Amino acid sequence: MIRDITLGQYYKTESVIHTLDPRVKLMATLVFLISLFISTNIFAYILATVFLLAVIYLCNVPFLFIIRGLKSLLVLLFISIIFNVFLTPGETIFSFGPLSITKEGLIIATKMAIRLVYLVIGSSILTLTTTPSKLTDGLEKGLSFLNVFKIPVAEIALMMSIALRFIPILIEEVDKIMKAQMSRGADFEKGSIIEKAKSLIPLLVPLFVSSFRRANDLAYAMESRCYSNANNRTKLKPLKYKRIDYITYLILLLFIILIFITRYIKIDIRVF
Amino acid sequence: MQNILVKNLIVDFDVLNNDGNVISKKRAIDDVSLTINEGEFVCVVGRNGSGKSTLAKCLNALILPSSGDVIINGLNTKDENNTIDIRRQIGMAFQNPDNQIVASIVEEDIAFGMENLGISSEIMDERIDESLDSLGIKELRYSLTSKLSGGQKQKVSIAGILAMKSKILILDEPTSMIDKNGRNDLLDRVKKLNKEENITIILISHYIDEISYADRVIVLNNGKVTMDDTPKNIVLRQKELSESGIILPYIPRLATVLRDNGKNLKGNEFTAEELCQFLK
Repeated sequence: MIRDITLGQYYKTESVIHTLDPRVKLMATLVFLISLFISTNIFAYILATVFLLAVIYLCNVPFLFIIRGLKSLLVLLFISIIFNVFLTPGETIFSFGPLSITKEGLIIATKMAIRLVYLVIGSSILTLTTTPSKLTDGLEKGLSFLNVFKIPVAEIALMMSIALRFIPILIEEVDKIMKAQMSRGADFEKGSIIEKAKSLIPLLVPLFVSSFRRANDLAYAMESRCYSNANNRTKLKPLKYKRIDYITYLILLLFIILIFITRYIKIDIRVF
Repeated sequence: MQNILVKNLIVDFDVLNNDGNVISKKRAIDDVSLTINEGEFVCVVGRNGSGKSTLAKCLNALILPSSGDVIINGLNTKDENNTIDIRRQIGMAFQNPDNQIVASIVEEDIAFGMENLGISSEIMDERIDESLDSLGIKELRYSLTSKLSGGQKQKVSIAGILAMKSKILILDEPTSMIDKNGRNDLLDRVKKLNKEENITIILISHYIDEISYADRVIVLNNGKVTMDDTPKNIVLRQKELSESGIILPYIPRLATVLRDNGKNLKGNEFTAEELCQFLK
């Protein structure tokens, strides 16, 4: 069962979004996230919603899959709503003993909730429609300007992709070590948080030792396949912009301009 | 025409104490000289710690000699400028199939070596198909490497070496982590590569059964070459073998016992079929 964990939760299907260059998708996610945080009024939120719905429609991934990522967010979302609703000072709407719900609190909480939910959905779409290897390729190429500052982008990207590749192996290894330690009487379930953390030591030490051994083996294997320098390498699938990618860049530009324009629309709606 | 020339090779390892200081030297390879010619299938056997893997790593400049020379097609491993050229000619597959696969997808892993050599993507594409085909795993091209069996992973790493057009293949105990069926299948493929594409094979092994695939067997013990002969002759030299810590494979051992008990056998029969013929 542990072998079936898919990484980066890539959902394999055919869609326009899937075929886009990873650099475009990274840029789009970034633009979308920025737009969420500079949105001030309802028009901006409507615009972001339209944008998001359009992408969800285009990406051909079942809606349930997309919102699955929200599950892990629920607790955080709940806490942030509670805090904002009860602790923001302002015009009281409803009083409940020492606690009081204010109008400002409701507004901030709603905005916060929308931002968080959109943020998670937006970035989920990126990882659902892009394979991890394409994602690292995109990062490598998209950030290659950092080479000017002597940041080894290509090496970092290779490290990332190797890390991704070894995650399933390490998960399996954790499973194996846990069983081995449990068969010698180790208990990973019982006790307080501190005791639980302490019980992880006999798990982590062998894991680290074996990881270093693996790293050593891998270094030999890479060297014997002529690896010397990440910069002089060619690519099996070099990234090339297509027409659709340029069109998407245009749409993004339009989107961000529109978001900026909404900042200057003055409206008088009580809620926002 | 000789491919590999090893002259008076000595490799010493530092033995460290807990503070990281060198307290003594351990001799892993002790004055080894040998020549391996193009197209040979050589099997190197020996017990644990006999220096098999060290010798293999010396051949593609992963370990440099403490003294003596290793010369691959005229290129000395001691010269750093030769390193990439040597590794281009000698591919190496390692024991643990998981620890030598770099990418998550088969084709990307096979491309890794070629990407390092700066080969264009069109040529890579062709060679990936070619090399997968010659190992009979063409259908795995787009599979996830983490879902493959041990034998398939070893084939993928060999395919990655073939794609680099290496003419020498070193297999460092490639079968020790895969099951019996996978082992035979893998070695059959390797044998085919040797016969059909004239690729020099150096198989490091601690399964003595595997010497039956080779044309020549080199036995190492304590860093020294103790025997260097054809498999058929090697199994007849049982006393020397056991001095090197090697026990004969089952069928030759049976054949020897039968011979010693008066049956008309040579004592170096490898397969059940051969044995049956003599027993008729």
